[in-house]
Amino acid sequence: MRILARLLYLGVINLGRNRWAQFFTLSTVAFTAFMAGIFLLLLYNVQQAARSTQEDIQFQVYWDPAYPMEEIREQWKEISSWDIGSMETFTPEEALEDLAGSIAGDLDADSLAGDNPLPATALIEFSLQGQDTQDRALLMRSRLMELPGVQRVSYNPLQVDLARTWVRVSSGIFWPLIGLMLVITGLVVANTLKLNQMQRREEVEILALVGASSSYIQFPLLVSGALQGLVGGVLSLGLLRLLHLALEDVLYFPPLWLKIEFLPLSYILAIPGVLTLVGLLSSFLAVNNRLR
Amino acid sequence: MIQVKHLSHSFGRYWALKNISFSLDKGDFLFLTGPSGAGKTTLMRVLHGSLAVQRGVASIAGFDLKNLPEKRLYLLRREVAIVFQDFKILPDQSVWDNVALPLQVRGMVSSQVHKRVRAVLRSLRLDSKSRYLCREISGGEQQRVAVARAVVINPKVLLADEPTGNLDRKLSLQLMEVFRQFHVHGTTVVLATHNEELIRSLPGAKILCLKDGSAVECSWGPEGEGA
Ligand SMILES: Nc1ncnc2c1ncn2[C@@H]1O[C@H](COP(=O)(O)OP(=O)(O)OP(=O)(O)O)[C@@H](O)[C@H]1O
Ligand SMILES: [Mg+2]
Repeated sequence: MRILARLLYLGVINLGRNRWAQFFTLSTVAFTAFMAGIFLLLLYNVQQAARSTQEDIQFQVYWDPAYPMEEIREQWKEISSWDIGSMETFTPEEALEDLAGSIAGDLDADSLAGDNPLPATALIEFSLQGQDTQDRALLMRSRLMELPGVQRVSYNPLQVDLARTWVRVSSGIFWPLIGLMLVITGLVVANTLKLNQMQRREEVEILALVGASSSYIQFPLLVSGALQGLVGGVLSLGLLRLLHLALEDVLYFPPLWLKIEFLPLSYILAIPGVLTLVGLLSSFLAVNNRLR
Repeated sequence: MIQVKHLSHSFGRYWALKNISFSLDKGDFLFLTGPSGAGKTTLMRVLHGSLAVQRGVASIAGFDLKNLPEKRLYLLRREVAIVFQDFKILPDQSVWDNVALPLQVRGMVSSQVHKRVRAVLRSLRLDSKSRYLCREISGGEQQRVAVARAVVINPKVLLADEPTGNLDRKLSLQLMEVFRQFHVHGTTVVLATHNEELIRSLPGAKILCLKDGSAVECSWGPEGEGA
């Protein structure tokens, strides 16, 4: 137990030696992981965006303001019997109220009430799972257009395209890219840490010569390797978070309305976790064949 | 304590040791001598387990060197200490830390470590330098640190490769006295040296002369031996 404590202590102390080498090692690890993190963040957000649009697509239907309201209500009833997810309807009055609510104070809703310029509208959502999303979307659009009194149907084709592209891309590229990125990051980090450990080759050799068991020699090296991986990982997460705070809102404008989301907890834990493992492994490999 | 039979060792196609045989009992003292390149260091490294036994057999302190798994090598090194020709001490650590190292890797409690290290440093006249970093002390002092690190564990076998190479005559003889003390107390000592005076100073010792990797008749004679 006393030995274990001492070995842990040695592992930490080792990091304090040769500060510049440690600094460069940590920087390399942190920045490499940071680059990988940016990549992950990007992929994650594209995936999120595509997912949400893939699941439901919105149609905005506008009726001719002159078209009689009773007919429109009939059509609403009919539409709601179609294979759709949900429908929200707005009579001109409701739309006006909504509008007044959103620009409170600046608009005198009552003065407009007699001569309401707004059309009746419906917001239709339906799910877009599966392959033929584009076809189904177009079909839905023409079906809506054919209703008498309907003036305009708009939907978000950009998102549909995105969704369709994503379905194709994600299977073919997402996982291979993630894999490649992991391999590159792993190699760079492992190599950096290994070089760092190599500096202590002489010390390792001497420890072996004076009768240190291989676990006595390796344990502190593994501890410092793991710590370097962990600290590098946490630093990279910090950088990533700073970047995220700076860029969170850059895509939050029409027609994208994309808020860049930060990585979910599982990813946040995985980054330092994987780096710690890489650190362990590379220190293990760095000294494993130098004990004789 | 040491048995070597028909031991040969080659580096690539060059045979640095050819068919060497000798044996030492507990408390024996062996001088290993011969011209530069004769194979003295090579033999030391085989005995310490740093080089594999390629041909023949060798055992030391109860360990069969031919069949010793790497995992158990450290056990041998807790019984067999070595002083290297090029010291192999840690230049960026203090004299004290270097000498304490073999005791620390055994997990010895620090009060015990203190006692042992202090005694050894005093016997090698290094006590005034104990806080110095090893790169700040002279070659002769570094050499004595290497000796101190070897003897501090009270080894069963002490291998010393030219331990007096950097010392003046007086210090050489003083160091020889340290080795003699261990020998008297039952440590088996193998000492490689070119220094005839050193060899003559211990008449009871065995001598092994090497030349081009082979054991040869010693070409000079302490007590009139050889010719
Ligand atoms: N690692 C090695 N690779 C190749 N050849 C080696 C190696 N080590 C030693 N030799 C060769 O083996 C021979 C014996 O070397 P060794 O170091 O044992 O000599 P030595 O008797 O200790 O000499 P010195 O008195 O100069 O220390 C030399 O010719 C040397 O070139
Ligand atoms: Mg030599």
